[in-house]
Amino acid sequence: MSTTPVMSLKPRGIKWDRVALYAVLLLLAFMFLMPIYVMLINSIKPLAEIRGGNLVSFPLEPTLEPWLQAWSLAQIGVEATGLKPYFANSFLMVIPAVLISTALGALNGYVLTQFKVKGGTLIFGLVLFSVFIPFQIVLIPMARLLGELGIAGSVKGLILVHTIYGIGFGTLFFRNFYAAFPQELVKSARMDGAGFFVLFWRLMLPASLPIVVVNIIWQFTNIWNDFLFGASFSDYTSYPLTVALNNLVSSSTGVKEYNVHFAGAFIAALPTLVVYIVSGKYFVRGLMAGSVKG
Amino acid sequence: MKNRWLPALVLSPSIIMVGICVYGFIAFTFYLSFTASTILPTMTLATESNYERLFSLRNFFLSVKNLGVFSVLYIVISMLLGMFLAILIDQRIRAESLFRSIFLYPMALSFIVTGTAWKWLLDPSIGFERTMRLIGFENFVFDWIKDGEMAIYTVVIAAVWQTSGFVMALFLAGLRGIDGEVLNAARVDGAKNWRIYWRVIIPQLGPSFISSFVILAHMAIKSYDLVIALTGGGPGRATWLPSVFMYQYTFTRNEMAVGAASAVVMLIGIAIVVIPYVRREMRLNKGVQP
Amino acid sequence: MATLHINGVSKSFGDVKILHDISLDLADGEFLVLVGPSGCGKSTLMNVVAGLEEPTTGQVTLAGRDITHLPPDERDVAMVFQSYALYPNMTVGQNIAFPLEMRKVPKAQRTEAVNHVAAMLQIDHLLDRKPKALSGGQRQRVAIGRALARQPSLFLFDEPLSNLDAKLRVDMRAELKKLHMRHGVTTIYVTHDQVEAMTLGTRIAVLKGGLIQQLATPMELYERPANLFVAEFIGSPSINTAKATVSDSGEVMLGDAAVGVKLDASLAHTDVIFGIRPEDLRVSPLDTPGAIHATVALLEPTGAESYVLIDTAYGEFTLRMPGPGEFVVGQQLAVSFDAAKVHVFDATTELRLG
Repeated sequence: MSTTPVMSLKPRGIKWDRVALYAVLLLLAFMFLMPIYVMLINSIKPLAEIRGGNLVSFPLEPTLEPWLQAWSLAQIGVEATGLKPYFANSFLMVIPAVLISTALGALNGYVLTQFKVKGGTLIFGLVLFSVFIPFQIVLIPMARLLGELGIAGSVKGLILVHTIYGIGFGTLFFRNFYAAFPQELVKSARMDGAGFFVLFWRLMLPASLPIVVVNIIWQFTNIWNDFLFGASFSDYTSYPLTVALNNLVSSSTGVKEYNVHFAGAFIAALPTLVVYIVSGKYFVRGLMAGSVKG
Repeated sequence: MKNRWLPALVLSPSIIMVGICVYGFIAFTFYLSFTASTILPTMTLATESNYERLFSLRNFFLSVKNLGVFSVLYIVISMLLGMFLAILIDQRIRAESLFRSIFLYPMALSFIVTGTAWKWLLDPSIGFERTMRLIGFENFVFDWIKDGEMAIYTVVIAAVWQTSGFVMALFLAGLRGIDGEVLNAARVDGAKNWRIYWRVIIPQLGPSFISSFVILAHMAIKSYDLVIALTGGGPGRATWLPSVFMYQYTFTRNEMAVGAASAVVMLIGIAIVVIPYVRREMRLNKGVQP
Repeated sequence: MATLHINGVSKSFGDVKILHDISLDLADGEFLVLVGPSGCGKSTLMNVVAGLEEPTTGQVTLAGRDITHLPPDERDVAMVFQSYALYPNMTVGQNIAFPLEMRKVPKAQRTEAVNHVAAMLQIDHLLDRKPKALSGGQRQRVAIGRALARQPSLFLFDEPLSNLDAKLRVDMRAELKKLHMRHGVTTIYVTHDQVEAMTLGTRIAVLKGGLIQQLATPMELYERPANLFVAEFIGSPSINTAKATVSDSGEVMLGDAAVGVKLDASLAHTDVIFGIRPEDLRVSPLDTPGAIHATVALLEPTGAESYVLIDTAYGEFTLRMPGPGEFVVGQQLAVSFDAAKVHVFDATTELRLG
């Protein structure tokens, strides 16, 4: 077996190449981390320190007051409830939407790759295109539809919206995965008598567990982070967290409580950040699923 | 399969939902752009062309111009930075996953969070400018975010920060897919490191270039959340993009038909970039269908 | 004079030692084959000579220059890889010209060299194609062309024929040999196929576990293998072996019968291994003294000859016979051999005795 060394900047003599490499990487890492570092330390500074001092300095008198404010005391909607209720709204919205769109996506991907469906390629093309559309184009009719269904301005409405628009992504993820699924296994299962649902439930779905995870992570992140649909289809009782945060931050009246803004932004960012850190390579796989195969 | 109709049946809920809520709605909005809708949708056709009005509006012209500036800078810088990061990370460095995670984490954040963070970072009164002045550079100026001419560039900065990690991931996958023996052959043939990247590696990264372009371009056209959080569209209308225009004209300025028209224009813009990619995928799908 | 000296080269990856103190010398124009099973270290040794790996200890000298620590491009060595490693984004012509381009050879000369090499390898009609439009055999020629165009002091071939189908492999083997006869460039050729090794090499180095088991001409390896491993590796079908003993007087005994080989009396009572190649066994009349009695277990006719598996008291042997063979399974026969063709190995050290 031939050992094939991977390409690398081979240092010859002094390792200045490597030193420069690490220096550049560290500089870039610093630049990437800086905003979140700034957000974090300024979220625990009293307001006077922020106004008086510079953005990168350590807090002299750290306080959790801004976090408390952001979480439960700030005025966002009609009452001063902080971000807490909106945090809950986001969860209530995200979980059903992710689960349903994942389930439908898996079934769709399965059908599109394992069965002859009339116009299967066209359907695939239309689904693929649908994930790229600017959602501005559906805002007006969707608002109308939600109104007709009586769920305008509610969390239920948001669930419906995110489920529908999540189907496209899910279908694509699973379709790509099932397309590469070894056909011998499928044929062998069919010869053993596996029918439509058995084939899906007992063979393909279990094999695609990593993709299920990827899809859930990707959908969770996207739906949690959405703003446009939230801003368009919710009212003050049903704002998702992103909309609430934006309201908190963009209020033009009164004193700008930067530390509360930062704390709020952090609260909004935490769930997806945690998912990101915990899921590591699954997150990356989710990103890659959208790319062209070479 | 005994049940010929079962697969189609399983697909049908999704087909119906996507059919109506994507393509049906597109048609609806398209129709609306020819009506006289103002506050609410109405079916009566307009007497004058909303598109003519659209293209005559300074606000729209400004939005499109901003989009042009923004997308070119955003796409080019993100691709270059992303590719550069990928090449660095590909050098078999220690703590590779740590660095990768650091460059990629902004993708996990909402644009609202990114906008909020950068908004204050770039604000002259408490952000970068002030910090530099406090350190000692008393005449340091960095008030782009408040400057009508320069504000759009702040959007570029925040957007590049958010997504270059993603481009890095794409290019890294592309780099790792290159056959190691070809690189060995290049070394034996006498190519030095940079020559190898230039002549052998980068030419093979075509698919990564294409993917990142398609995705970055469509994200640029759809950019809305970031602008709202970072600048609110301002100062004034200095950072308006077509997405902001659409929202404003539809929901705030009660010119729904014009808003609809702008949405259609956005769709066409995306379609131009995305349709070739979709068609290619559809062609390749022939090999996938049983 | 492109002589190559490898002195005491060892290579470890962390705690794992792949090469143990390898030394060999190649004369100018020699064709050395490195052969051995997977994992024996032959590819690692190649990489060290090519400059793709640095040895942990030892030296490599080519044409009088110490190249041990030089990067690959400064060694004047060309390599043909197992997977051909053609540049997928360049045409055949550009692939072959690439090393010349790296050496800043002017365009006119480059084109001439490319055309010359392409004509010689009969790929001149493919110059504008990209590798993915070529067959395996064509790609291989392009890889060879790329190495040839450089006119290096040393050629390295890393299992270049492994990915070809059987018939093409045989054809290309002959072509490679003709090329070497024509150009006489010093060559190291790595393979796991002992037939290739035997037909191509002027000398062969058999490797196992990072150690050279034997370095000799093909005939020497065949007739006087230095140890059991070499004996079993060279020759197809493999040599027949059986446990044997040494009598008080030094006679090698297979069971109760002497095989006709006498060793030094100091080796009395050692356990040894008796070896005889399938082609050295002859069918003889059942009553021949000293013949081994056997029953036919299996027949494998290959057209020009047959391999006959026979059960004997000492184990299963293979017999090689010209023609289709007129035996039947279950038939009783006797085989005998010339004592001069017997190989004896120490059962513990596996080294050749006598």
